[in-house]
Amino acid sequence: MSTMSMQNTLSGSASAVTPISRTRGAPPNALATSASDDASLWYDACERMLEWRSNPDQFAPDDQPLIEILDTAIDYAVDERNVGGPAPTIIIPSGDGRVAFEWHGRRSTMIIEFTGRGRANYTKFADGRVIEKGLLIRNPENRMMELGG
Amino acid sequence: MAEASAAGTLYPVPVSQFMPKRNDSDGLSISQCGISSITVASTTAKGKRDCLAEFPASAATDRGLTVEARPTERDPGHAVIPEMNYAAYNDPDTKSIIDEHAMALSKASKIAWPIEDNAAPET
Repeated sequence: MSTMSMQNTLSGSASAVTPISRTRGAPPNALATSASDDASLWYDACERMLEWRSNPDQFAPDDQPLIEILDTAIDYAVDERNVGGPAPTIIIPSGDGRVAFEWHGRRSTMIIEFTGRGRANYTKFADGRVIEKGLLIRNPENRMMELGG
Repeated sequence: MAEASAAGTLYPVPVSQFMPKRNDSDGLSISQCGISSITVASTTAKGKRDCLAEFPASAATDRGLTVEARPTERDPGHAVIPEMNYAAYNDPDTKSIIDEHAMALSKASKIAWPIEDNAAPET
């Protein structure tokens, strides 16, 4: 472990990191090598979020995901599992009651951070730069998260 | 970047952990390696042991960010990156800049605690 004097350490709540990917630097589409693999990963993600929902005291108060945000994230995970979407590399409580899904690729990263009931921020990076961002809002008619705002 | 978790699984340091939260109104909180111990830096103000990511100071300063010492009684090495504050993160005009800083710090980071041979104790 490095503790060089010219380094800083940053403390975060990453203890709650839920690594559900198994490869280093795999592009997001590499996670879709097998529909059943992604389906299993989405299933695991749902199971973990349900466990967070039923046991919120495992988190520090500042890190506890809000129930309505967890419900939105779980709904999204179920929808993506059903349509065969690529599973995220990480799901994590991101503070302020929020939950983030992160897809890490070799040169691109996508983050969906659930911020409220039926709402999420979407950000896509390429080579460290933001190339797309937007607000996802759940359409009450078809229940799908759609770009809006 | 990916690092070994306590269970030996490789995973990246989450970008979302570098994005300012509500309690980062004066900037993103960090601890300075040369001053703070791993134990102090990985323990929250409320006494809960937490995961710790480590990045070189140059990863911040090379991007024009500053590191301001804000020692506390609990953590004499506490500091903030004032440019990465909660208001800037919520301002549509500056959010993407903060996002890109968070991405850069994430890429420059490795997990400092827990490491594979130093599993997290029961808290």
